[in-house]
Amino acid sequence: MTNDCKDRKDSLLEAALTGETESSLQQHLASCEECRQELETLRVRRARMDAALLMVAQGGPQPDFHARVVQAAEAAGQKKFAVTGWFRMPRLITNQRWMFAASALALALAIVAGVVNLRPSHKLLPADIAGATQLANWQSPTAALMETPGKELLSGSPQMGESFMRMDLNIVDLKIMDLKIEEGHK
Amino acid sequence: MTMTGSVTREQSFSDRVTENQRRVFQIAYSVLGNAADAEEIAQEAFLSAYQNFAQLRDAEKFRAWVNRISFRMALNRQRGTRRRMSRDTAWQTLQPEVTGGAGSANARLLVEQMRQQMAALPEKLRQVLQLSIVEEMEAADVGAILGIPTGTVRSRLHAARKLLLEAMQ
Repeated sequence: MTNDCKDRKDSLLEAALTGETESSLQQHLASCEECRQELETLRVRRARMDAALLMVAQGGPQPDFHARVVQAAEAAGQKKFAVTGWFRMPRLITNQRWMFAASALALALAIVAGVVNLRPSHKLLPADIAGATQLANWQSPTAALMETPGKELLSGSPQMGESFMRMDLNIVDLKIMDLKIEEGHK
Repeated sequence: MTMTGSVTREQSFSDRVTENQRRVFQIAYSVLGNAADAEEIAQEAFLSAYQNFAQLRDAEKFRAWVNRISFRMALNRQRGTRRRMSRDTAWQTLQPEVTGGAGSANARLLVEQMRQQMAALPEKLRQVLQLSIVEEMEAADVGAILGIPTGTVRSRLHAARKLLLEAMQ
């Protein structure tokens, strides 16, 4: 085997695998008996390899495989939702789509129930009426203080130069007051 | 109505198992090299598909899904087996089971040699080869399981076969 033959090892493998021989290899094979034999050997090996690969993945499961799988699936399905008695969940509900719809409906009902429950009632109880009356009649201490004599004098704020004691007195009143003062001096 | 829906579901699932059981078994078998383990994995894959059957009504979806899940489960089982073997019984060798037409001693020897050579391949090449030798598995199916383009499947398959041929005596 020459160096030229050693360099053609990869080409021989490719030729054996693909069944196609490139032109330069064809020219070499025409003049090299050793490489022709090598290519033939590789082709035989390739056939053995393909046969072996087929056998590696040959065969199928046991004849009762199908029955076992279906039986196990049914058992798994029943186990998943296995609740006996009155509370057994119907198969319709096992479907995920129906489960989602049922959850959404339950949530909507819960919201409606909550809103109805929170709404104020129109019926008043006697205790409510008594409390409201008491609240309406309640007066602050300030209101009681305002119920004093002379409160009208304090009812407004004085203007600039005015007294807090704003008294609307007329002339007659002033004269009466003067007479009373003079009588007092006497 | 509920009974009808239930029966339809059970019947549909049964039909899907019939259509896919051989290939699913082969996918697991190509990874594990053991018929009993392969059947167990195939059954687990179908049960898993049954749990998600609402989303897998379409036959093509079911086929792609169950292919992928059986391969993943088989790989996990294989890794677990390797770990156990290396830890507890490293002295033992896994005896490959041969089914179908590989009954003769020569055929058994050939298959065993092939398994050893496949085991020595780089993982990426071995996975493509394992799936490609399964019946009815096109490059597109293999690519879908492994999540790689079809062209990559072909180039890896070629590289794997070339290495195997080189290693054969």
